[in-house]
This record gives sequence, C-alpha cells and structure tokens, in this order.
Amino acid sequence: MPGTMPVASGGIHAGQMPQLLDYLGEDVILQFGGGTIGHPMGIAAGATANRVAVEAMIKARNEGRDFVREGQDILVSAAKHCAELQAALDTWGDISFNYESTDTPDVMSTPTA
Amino acid sequence: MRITQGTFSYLPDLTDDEITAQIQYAIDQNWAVAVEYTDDPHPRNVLWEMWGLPMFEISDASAGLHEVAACRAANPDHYIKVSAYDATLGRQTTALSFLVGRPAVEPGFRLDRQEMSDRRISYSLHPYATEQPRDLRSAANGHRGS
Amino acid sequence: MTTQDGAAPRGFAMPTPGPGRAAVTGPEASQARAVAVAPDAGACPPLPPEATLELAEDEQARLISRLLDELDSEFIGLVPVKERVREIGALLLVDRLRGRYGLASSRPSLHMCFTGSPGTGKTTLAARMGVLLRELGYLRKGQLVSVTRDDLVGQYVGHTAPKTKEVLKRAMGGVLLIDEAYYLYRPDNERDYGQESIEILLQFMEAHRDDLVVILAGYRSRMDVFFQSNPGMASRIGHHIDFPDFSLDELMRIAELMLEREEYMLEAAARDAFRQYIRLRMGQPRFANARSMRNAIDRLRLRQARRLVAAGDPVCRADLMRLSVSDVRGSRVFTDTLAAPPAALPG
Repeated sequence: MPGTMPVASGGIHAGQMPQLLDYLGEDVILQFGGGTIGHPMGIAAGATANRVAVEAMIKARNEGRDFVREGQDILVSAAKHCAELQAALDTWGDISFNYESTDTPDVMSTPTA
Repeated sequence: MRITQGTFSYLPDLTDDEITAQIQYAIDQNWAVAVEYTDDPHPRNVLWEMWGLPMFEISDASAGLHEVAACRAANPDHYIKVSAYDATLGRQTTALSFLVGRPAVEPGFRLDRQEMSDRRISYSLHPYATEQPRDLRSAANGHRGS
Repeated sequence: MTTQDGAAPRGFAMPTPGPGRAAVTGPEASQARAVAVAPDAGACPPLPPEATLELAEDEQARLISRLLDELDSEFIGLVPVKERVREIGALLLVDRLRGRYGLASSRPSLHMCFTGSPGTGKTTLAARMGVLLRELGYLRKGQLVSVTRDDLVGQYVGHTAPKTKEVLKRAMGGVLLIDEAYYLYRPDNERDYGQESIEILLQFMEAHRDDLVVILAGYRSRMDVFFQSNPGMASRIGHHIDFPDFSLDELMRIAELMLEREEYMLEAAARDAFRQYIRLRMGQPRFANARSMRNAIDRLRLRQARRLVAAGDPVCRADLMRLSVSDVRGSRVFTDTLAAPPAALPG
C-alpha cells in the first residue's frame, strides 16, 4: 500500500508553523480554514500569509537553523517583508492548543466487593 | 508582477549566500542539482531550457553557484531556477525547485476568455513576455538578441 | 504547543521513503552547512591594541599541533612538506588572532606544486593535504580529485572546455591533483587542446581561490620547463614543494611501518639482509622509493608463502607472521648486482 500523507486541519494558523512541521514533517497537507478566510486583510492575504510562513520555515531548516527553537524569530523576521503574515501573527499569535483534553476517561473504576 | 512559481517565490529574492546554502542542503541530501532557464513564465511551462546537465558529481555548493552565475551572465533577461531531483525509490521526484533569477521587467499575464458551445467560457493565461517571436523577444525588451 | 526542553533538534520528523540515510539535519549537518545567512548574533568588538593573547592556550594551536603530530607519525621524512604545513597552520592561527584585534587578513594562495621522483609520496600527501586543509578550515570538504592530462583535454574542438569544467566542479570544496601536469602543454602539436585546458584552469584558480586548491605533481626538471612557458600558471602557484628521495634509513623505516600494518615481522638476520637489499635496489634502474618498498614486501610475502607451503609443516601464528632471511635473500636483486650500471633516471 503506498504511503499516506498526514493532514493537519482544524484551527491551525500561520503562527503555529514551526510546531506543525516539527510534528508532521514536510510531506504534509496543511489545511488552513479559518486561518485563511478569517484573515483581517482578506482571503488571498490569508493564503499569502500561510505560504510565506511555510516557505520561511523550510528555508531556515535547509540552512541548518533549529526551526523549532527559533521558529518564532524566523516568523517575525519573515513578517517584516510580508504585511499579511504580520497581520496573521497579530491576529492569532497567542492562540495555542494548550487545553484540557476532551479524551480523558470519565469512568472512575471502583473496586467491587 | 513578480511571478510566484516554485519554492521561496513568496519570500524576497534569495541572496547568493542563501542560494549557496540551499544548494548545499540539496547536495547533502544526495539530490542532483540542475540549472534551467526560460523567458516564458506561463505556469504550465514545465520544460525549461537546461543549462548543462544535472550536476551529479559535485560535493560543494560553490560549483553550483558557479553555474548559476554563468547562466545569469549568458541569459541576462530570463527566469533562472535551480532544481534538485531526489532519485530514491519511492520518491523519484523534484525535491526542491526555486527561482534564482528574474528579468528586470515582468509584465505578467492576461486572462483570455474563450466562449465555447452552450455559452460556456474557457479560461487560459497568456504571458505578455511571449508576445514577440523568440528571436525578437530580447530586442523588444531593449537588449541585444539572445 | 510546547516542545520538550533539551530535546535535540530533529529536523522534520517524517522519514522519507527509500534506503536509510544518515541524518542530514541536526547540529552536525548544520555545522557543516554553516553559512553567514543568519543574522550575526553580536560580533565581539575588536580588542584594544595593548591587550595580549596567549598562543599556547588557543584551541586552534592545539589542533594544529595534533595534526602535525599525526603527519609526523604517519609519514616518514618529507621534511619540506611538514615544514610548509606547519607554516600554513601557524598562518591560520595568526590570522585568527589578527581578526580578534580587528585587523584584516586575506586568504593566502594555497595552490601547490609537488616535484619529486616516483614513490616519494606526492599523491598520498595531496590526499592528506585535502583533509588537513579542511581541518584547518581552509577548505569545506577536502575531497581529492586526481586527474591526468587525458581527463582534462578533449579529442576534438569544443570537447576540452566542458571536460575540464566538469572535473573542476567535482573538485570544488577540495583538492584537484593534476599528475604530470606538464603534459598539458604540447608546443610541437598545433592541434593540441591542452592550452585551452590550461587557460580554464588559470581562470578557476584565480576566481575560486576560496573553493579549490590545485596541486600539480611531476618531475622537477619538466615542471620547470612547463612553468617557463606558462608564467601565468607559475605565478598562481603559491607553494613549490620538493619531495626528496628517501634515505636508506627512511626507506627501512617505511618498510617497517608497512610490515607493521600488514602484521608481518622480519627476524633479526632478515632485517640486516633487507637493509642490504634496499641498498642494492636503490642502485638499480627504475627505483621508485616507497613504492619499491611496497613491491618488495609483496614479493617477500610471496616467497614466505611458497616456503611455508613447500615445507608442509604445521604452522602457528608466529610462523605465519615471520619473514625469514631466506625469504629476503631469494630476491633477484642479490644475484643481479653484477648487471650493467643503472640507466640515467628521468628528471
């Protein structure tokens, strides 16, 4: 069976690019829904912002930089040349996925007898 | 308009140092690096002119940059790209492809609409750069013939 | 999302399909690829003129002395070469110290010319030079590409330039060794394309001084003629190093090193006989220094093997390692000493 590609989708935005590429690799489908059409400068700007973010990360990775640690710095310096990315970082910059998992079991095991 | 074809096309143009770093990454991954050029920027133009054969045997990026510089000197008003081919089984595809040279003036595209049967419209792109016959293109842009 | 603290950078996590490859992302690979692309993380201001720096404590100085010690132990003799390597290493160190004071230092010309008889170590040392210069930081990869005239010159019009350029591109980042370089220039044959190759070499040697080191090798006298007719080439060569013929003691030492590596040993009487053998062989024609030692040892092994098999006795480990005096004396060199005096050697 040929290989499958991982897909990331659901609430992801350009500011999370370092983590997305770190966790899923470079052969990945990134589906930015809200992260594209919710961009304050318009949908095309949203697409541009995402594209600039992924290109900047790949460029930095190829040059040998630690894109995981320096990811935010790379995005911020890329945003200097791209107003769309700057707007995306301003809008969603502090959104992360730190929340209580909804997947925890809610069954308490009690000993019988 | 700045065409956005290939990797890194949405970023500012790469400096020579950055190009060297990318070529070195491709060499380290055992990809074959090749230089190609064209003056026809149509997005469906996938077969560009080859500048020499792919460089299978280089181990240092300065050799690749040497070829890029030679291509730029010989074709000053063309789009030039570096592409790297990954030959490993299961992949066998271009792994990296980015522009390293653009003409001074990029006139862009025109959207042509053609009416077909049943009042349907078919769309195609027409690059302004190909308006002249090939031999007259550089002259039209004010340069000596290619 | 948080990343684990202290985790080594992994590069993009998904493995690419295909045969397993060594990691080309991560700290080691990125070091090798280090390019002044990332913004400077704060260069140190230059030191004031009266500040002093301690050479002995410099890490670079320790590296250089380690490299020279390795060179000393692995190569016998070759004093001019070792001296030159010492000088290059010292210059590198001084350049770095000058940099600390904000003084400029241009990279020296590293193209070299090795002259000497066959078997004196020119090719071996050219390969080693690539590694040395890489360790010292002058070259990026340090690989050796070894060519002769036929690899550079084409057979028809338009063939030479791409051929030479391909070879040069392969050698970028390392060392290009051109053996018997004087054959590139054939003044008597006007249909010869060697001159074109020389011109391309000269261009590359000048334009890519930082990327490539060219080493010409050959006999001294012919090389002198070559340089006289190609002053452009002579002026680009920064180091002319002569590889003198080895002395008897040096040849003995070389042979002993070779035997050690091959895990053989000469018994005491055999050692004296071998010394005599070397002295006689040196006087005979076509003596090729270290290569002749290599050949002699191979023949010793042949004779030992024949002796052991002919005897048919059970053998132990020591027997298989020992070379006896009869193995040495079996050489024709001892019986041919009454032959005609040796012909004049070229160069």
